[in-house]
Amino acid sequence: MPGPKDPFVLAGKEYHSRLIVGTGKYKDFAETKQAIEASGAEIVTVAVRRVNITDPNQENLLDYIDPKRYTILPNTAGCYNAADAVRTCRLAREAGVGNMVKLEVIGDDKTLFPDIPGTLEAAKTLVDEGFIVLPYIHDDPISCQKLEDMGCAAVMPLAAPIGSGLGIRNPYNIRIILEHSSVPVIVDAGVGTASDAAVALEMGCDAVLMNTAIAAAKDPILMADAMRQGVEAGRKAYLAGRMGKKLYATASSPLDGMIA
Amino acid sequence: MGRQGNTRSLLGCKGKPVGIWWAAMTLRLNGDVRECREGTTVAALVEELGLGNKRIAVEVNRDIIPRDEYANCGLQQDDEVEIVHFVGGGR
Repeated sequence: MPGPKDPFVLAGKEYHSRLIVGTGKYKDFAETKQAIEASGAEIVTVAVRRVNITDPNQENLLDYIDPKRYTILPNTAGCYNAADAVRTCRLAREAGVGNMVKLEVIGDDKTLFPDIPGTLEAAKTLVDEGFIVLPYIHDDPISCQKLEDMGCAAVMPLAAPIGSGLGIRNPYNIRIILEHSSVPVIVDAGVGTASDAAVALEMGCDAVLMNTAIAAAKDPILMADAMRQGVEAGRKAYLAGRMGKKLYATASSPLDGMIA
Repeated sequence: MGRQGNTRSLLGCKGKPVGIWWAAMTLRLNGDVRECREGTTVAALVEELGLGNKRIAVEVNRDIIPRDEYANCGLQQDDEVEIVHFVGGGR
């Protein structure tokens, strides 16, 4: 099978899709599966939690999302310090879905903004232990640079707070991050609707990661499809190179041959 | 450091009774107290919970136990065992 024409290359692997999706907040696993299929995503992020011992035979997410078909990206959601995040990643790797992890070290539960020192500390340990680290971080070019220098396989600046749906709040910072990064830039968190995703890709971001924007839509399956198209449209517009912005009008019909 | 290759306390391994009486012990499993046979192995515990063929990871007293060590890893009174798996979650 030929590879993708315009591949998204992450840690040496080529993907067709530039949309990475989460698996939380859906009504049930069947809806999760349908939404992921509609989104066209090939990378799917999952959380690591205790097995319910009182009912260990309840259905498992990975019965619905085949790890042979999707790249499973365990995340450290809910970790508030580097030690917990590292511990979670080690457990995830042991559970057998590879060594790529989405690192998040959360600073507080109201904003869910990243804790920068904690993120840097955990990233360093994980890179040293051979993990492929994709860190969630502020839209801060300095932090992104440090994470890249440390050996992270991508940087994932937030567009806006997790679950806020506000879209890209600081496009100028994202532009600076894009200018300075030589690893993929994946906008993570804050996307609300398809146009937000398109904007991220139009700016030149390599991919976008989202969960709530799809799962909390009235029709998650339809929104997943919209996001897929938004990401594709944004990427094409980026590759096409948009026209320059002008203050005044420029007629698009010829002035020659006017009747008056 | 790690418990890899730990061969202590293999009594009662794989759920076989040791003599006539079983001594009981308690573990802390995923935060809750759980009683089991003295010398239960990680393999036996995972089997008992019906998790033998699931994609899980096990920690005993904060050390990760590789899957191929489950049968050799005997548990002891008051051990803290964590068994985790993947669930739906985003960011």
